[in-house]
Amino acid sequence: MLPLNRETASINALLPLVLRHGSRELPDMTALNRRLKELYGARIDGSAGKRGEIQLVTLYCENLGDNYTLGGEQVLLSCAGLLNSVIFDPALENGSFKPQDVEIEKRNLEDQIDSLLNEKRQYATMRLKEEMCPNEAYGVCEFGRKEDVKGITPQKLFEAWQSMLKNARTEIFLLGPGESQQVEKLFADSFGSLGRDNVAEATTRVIKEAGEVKTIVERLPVTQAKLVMGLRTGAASPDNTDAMQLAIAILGGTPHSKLFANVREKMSLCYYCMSYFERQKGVVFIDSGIEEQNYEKARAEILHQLDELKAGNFSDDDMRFAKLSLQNSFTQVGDSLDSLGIYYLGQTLSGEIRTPEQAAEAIMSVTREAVISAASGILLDTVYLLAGNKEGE
Amino acid sequence: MIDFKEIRSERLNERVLYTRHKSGLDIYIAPKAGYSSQYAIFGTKYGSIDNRFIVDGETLSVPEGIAHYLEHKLFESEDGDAFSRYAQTGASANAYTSFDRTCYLFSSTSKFTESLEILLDFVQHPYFTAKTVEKEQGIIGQEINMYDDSPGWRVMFNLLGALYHTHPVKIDIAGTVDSISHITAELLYKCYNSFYNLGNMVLCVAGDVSPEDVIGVADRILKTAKPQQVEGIFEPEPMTIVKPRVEQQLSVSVPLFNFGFKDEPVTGSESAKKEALTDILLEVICGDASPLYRRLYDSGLINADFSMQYFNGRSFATTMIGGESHDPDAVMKEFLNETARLQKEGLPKSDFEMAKRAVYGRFAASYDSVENVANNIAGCRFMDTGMFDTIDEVAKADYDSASERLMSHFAPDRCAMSVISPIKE
Repeated sequence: MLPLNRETASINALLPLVLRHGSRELPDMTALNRRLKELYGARIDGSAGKRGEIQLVTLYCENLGDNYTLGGEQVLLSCAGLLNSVIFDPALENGSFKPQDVEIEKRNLEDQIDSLLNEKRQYATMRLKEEMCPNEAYGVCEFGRKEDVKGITPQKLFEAWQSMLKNARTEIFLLGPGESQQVEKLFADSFGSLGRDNVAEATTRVIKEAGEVKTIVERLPVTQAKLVMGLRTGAASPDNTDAMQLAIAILGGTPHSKLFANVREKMSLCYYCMSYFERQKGVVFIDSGIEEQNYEKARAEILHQLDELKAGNFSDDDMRFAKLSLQNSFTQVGDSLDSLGIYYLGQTLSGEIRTPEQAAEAIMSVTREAVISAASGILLDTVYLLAGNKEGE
Repeated sequence: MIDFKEIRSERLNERVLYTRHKSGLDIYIAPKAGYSSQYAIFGTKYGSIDNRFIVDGETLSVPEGIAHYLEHKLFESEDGDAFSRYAQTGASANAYTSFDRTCYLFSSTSKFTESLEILLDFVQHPYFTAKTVEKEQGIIGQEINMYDDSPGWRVMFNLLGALYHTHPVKIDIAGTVDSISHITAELLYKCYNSFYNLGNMVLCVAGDVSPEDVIGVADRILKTAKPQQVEGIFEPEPMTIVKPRVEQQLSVSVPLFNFGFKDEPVTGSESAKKEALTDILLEVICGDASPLYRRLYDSGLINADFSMQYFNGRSFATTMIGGESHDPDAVMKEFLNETARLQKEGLPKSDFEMAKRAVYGRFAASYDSVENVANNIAGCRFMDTGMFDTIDEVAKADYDSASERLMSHFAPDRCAMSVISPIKE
């Protein structure tokens, strides 16, 4: 969990990709992958992401539970050992990462940055964040910029690796069946030997005010226009964000929500129109795919529905249904390892760890007044429209 | 007392209960201890490929995309939509239309029987009027536009178009803005009455459920109707390809590719065996522990976005390899060279064993998810395979069968390439 900033985003994003190449013992990607295949197709992979203004560098191993193996093998401990060695004892050459590994992954990271353009819904949201937060770390892409990838050398990457191990806040998750003690000890020993007495806590700057509304139009050769709105709220972790989460669910988080019922079902303007709350940064996003000619209509209706929410024009049923929907999501968390991981990552970031049951209870006890009060703090900041090229351009 | 047949996998310690309900509906229940949620699917053997059929002696050709349109419209009834009903139980509801099936589903953690009642009830009560059909044009039109801009979606359909001469698998699931403009309430009723017959459908429930609860709701809500015979019409599809290469320009930075080998479609246990052997072979040929993968990766011909799958359903089957590349044709050439080499020199035995374990592990892990379990049962039921057939075929796969499959399946003259490239200025 590293501070997100323009200067280090690329080098941090490159780290998991290069580490994934092997360990001192298995210094070759193919050798490592062969070993993983033998362990019932286990997978070691890594990625970069962001939550608020924190850059997340993740390395993980997925493996079959020991109880499912054909010959009773102990897969978990072997896999934990491989993951541990990839992180702490990677494949090095002359005291640094192998130049060839670094070159390959620099190229891959550049492709990854380029490919952000490919899927337009994600691209539009990323562009909105850039336009909304040009002077905030939140506007920085979790993969960094292509021009920053170019200058990375094996030596610089090696230094970033050492600094990450020593100074970055780290959380370890073990999800699924199996004996945890030995796995815990393995990682505790590795981290314990590093002298981590200077661990930096990455924080997020929350801005509650929005200035004059910015509207950005970008043109690309596309069929469907993407409308994305970015809004600031008065609520962000570590403060209580339950009322805001519920307000955003009533607005556009379910098929019963105001946006779905009006922008889609009543006006037939779109296939999707949803709202999301990023509680780390205290921002809300609303996105939809529309005809460009309906842009003004869709924008006006979305803002109208937001005003309705602020004015308390929603029924007790609307509120109860949104609560039930969130309660259902929380109660399901334990049935999927992916959801468990995402859920508890969010909990560790917000500083206060609640079980999904506790989070559900908190949502169920939010009052109508609290929802209205939370909604009243929501301010439109930036509107981003990705639209097709105009004839003759 | 309900008479359940138990389908067991000792290896996975999983079991599924099956019964044919008195209404004619096949019901599968997979109770899973230690889970908090329930996942239910009510599906019909009717997908985007079923747009020509004979029913009651009448031959019908219906507009492309109608199965998907019907799925959207079924959520509406005279007094509101199914989503509002589900809102009362908190269940998370959805539906999807694929090439060969349409499934309505929900996932819940409380009020399960109430949600199941809603599911079984609304799917049995169509309500289509000129006005409600008209309203959906804009919504689905935007869904179609969204897919038209998606390079990952286009690259696959362009490949299917290069592989299939007549088979409707090459048609977009949602149809086109033009084709859906010809859909009427009357046509929707025709399709509904032809395919939404309990004998053509399945109910699958997985998770924290009691079989008695499921049957109790089924007894209350399911209406026995007279069986309906419907027969799909498919023109003969030759095993040749249409063209070896297709390219489309879209707004992308890195080109995307998908190439595939057309296969003879089969159903039943034969299909499970083909899938198992193909998955193992793909792992040997281009899995991330293979020499080919390493060469492609090191030389920058592929990046981490590289995948392969055996894409099969009722009446179609293709092996697909896809990803991003700055030189897609070189990737395909390398792949063909590698399969030719393996065909000549034989599969390394140790690689076969290693791939078998890896594929086994992947399949076994999928039983952890109630969503996967329920969807898998529905898929198997419509393909006439047993729900543990494929993983059993993986576990017992033998070297000789894999070698035979290697020789017969990867033929260059059955292979086509689809590329999405950046728009040239």
